[in-house]
Amino acid sequence: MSEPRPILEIEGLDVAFGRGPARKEALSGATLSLLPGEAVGVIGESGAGKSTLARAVLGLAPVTAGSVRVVGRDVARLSRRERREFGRSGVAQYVFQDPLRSLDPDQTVQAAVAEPLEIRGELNRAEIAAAVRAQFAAVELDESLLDRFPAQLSGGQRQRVAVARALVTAPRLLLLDEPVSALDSANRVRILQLLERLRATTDITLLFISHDLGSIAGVTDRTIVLHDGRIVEDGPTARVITAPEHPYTRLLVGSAPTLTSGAADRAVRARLRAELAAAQRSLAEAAT
Amino acid sequence: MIKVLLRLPSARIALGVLLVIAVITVFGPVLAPYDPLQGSDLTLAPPSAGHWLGTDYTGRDVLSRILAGAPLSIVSTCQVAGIALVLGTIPGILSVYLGSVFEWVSLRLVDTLVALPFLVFAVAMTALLGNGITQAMIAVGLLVAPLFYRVARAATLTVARSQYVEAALLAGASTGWIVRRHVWGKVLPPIAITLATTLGVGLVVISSLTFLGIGVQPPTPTWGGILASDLDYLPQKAYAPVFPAVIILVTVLAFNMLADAIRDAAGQSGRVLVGARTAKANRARRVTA
Repeated sequence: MSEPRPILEIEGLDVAFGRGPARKEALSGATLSLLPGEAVGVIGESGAGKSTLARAVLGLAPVTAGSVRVVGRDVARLSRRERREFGRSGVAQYVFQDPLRSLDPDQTVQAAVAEPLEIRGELNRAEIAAAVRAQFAAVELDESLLDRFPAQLSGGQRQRVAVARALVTAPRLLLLDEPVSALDSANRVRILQLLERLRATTDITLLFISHDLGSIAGVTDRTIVLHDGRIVEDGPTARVITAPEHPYTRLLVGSAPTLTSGAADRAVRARLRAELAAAQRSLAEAAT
Repeated sequence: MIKVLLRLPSARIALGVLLVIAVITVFGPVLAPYDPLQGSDLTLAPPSAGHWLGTDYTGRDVLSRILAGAPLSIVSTCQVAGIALVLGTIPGILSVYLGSVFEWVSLRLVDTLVALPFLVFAVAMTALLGNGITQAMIAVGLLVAPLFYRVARAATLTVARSQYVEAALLAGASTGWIVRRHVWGKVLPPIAITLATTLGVGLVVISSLTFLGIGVQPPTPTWGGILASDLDYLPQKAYAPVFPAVIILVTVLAFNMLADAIRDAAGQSGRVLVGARTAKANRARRVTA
């Protein structure tokens, strides 16, 4: 049996912002491949390049080298028209971190969820309304909320509306950029359960970005660790969390607070930081 | 939004006043009891049964001049506002979407228009196109357009960088779709406020131009012209400027009230306002029941 074709293939991806002395490398040499049905977590501190990676997948980041293929199409080199067509196909969708900012305050949530289908323009009004209602049911939102505006919903309901908007086009790849970091723990669990259910019922591929190890562990089966724009570790989530290989991952795991022990001892973290600094020094020496 | 707008008393009053002004604009010259250009020996007469608002320095009936001056004043004002609205708002919104070349060129053009001295430009335009009110209004409209450009651009920039616009772009939305669905509703309230201000300014501008003999030649009546001429006879008839001033004031006030009402009725604030009013009305009903 032949190997299934990856949904997402990233090869030697470099992304840089600005020019001249102000130029900043956000990603360098990122290589990654996601198979259908896989759920991959991306973890790293702020500024590590997590969101840039997701934006590059959607063709929104200035790619300077390498390629990003979504279902075989190089999204970094699409013309304006091709990008619109690609968007209308609904193959890849994005869920933003803050649902309040990602939903138009002057649009009812029904209109927000219907919008991708209306842009696509293949269905009539009744079919779109039916699809929206079905999607509302899928994300466990009551139909009575359809005519509400985002400001009239709770944070958790808003994020489920945002997920419904992303899922209404039946995407094959769903990018979630810190989808639960703005939510309380009860709503966080609901969203994570929703994603679990989605995975169980469809062969959707998830790229789940977070700085929270707990959320990553709850949803994904593979985890990528980003540090300073480079992928420093890529492996099964359980292994990355329990037996991290890279010093940065060890520091990340060691710094994660838990209910029972709080953050790792200050001494342990100091040792991990020293270990990371040594690794970076040897890396820099190897490069020169 | 119109339904929400009509629930506001201020909007109803403003629209009522503007309706009266519109009637005067259309039927003013017919309603005028005397010939607005025909002088008489009865100069600077006080209000009487024969001349409700008195007469001016050449004995012309003030009420007739105000009524006959309405079409020129209001139509010219609307011309200024309309020209500025179209020439400013559309490029203002598009400057965010049509790429850096259009953005750069339109911004430099607007900077140039802002730098032009107002009266010199108006005189030059009337010299170039002929001394007519429409030519003068095109000149004024062109000079006011940067105001609309900047307001529209600023409002669009805020929306264009929002995540919901990004979400729509990711879904394959065209620029037209984004403008219709997400931008227009948010740009409209500041534009409406600017429009009302411009309509008010337009009335005052006409008076300045009449005073200088640009576009409108005496004795053609305009509200601003009547006000300007009355100001010369303050020692003889101190209250004379009150009549043209009141009609200008009421018209400008109505435009401003309408602009405020549009701002209140638009978007989220409108929904909150209507919600609060409905709740208050329900409470009042419960108390009386």
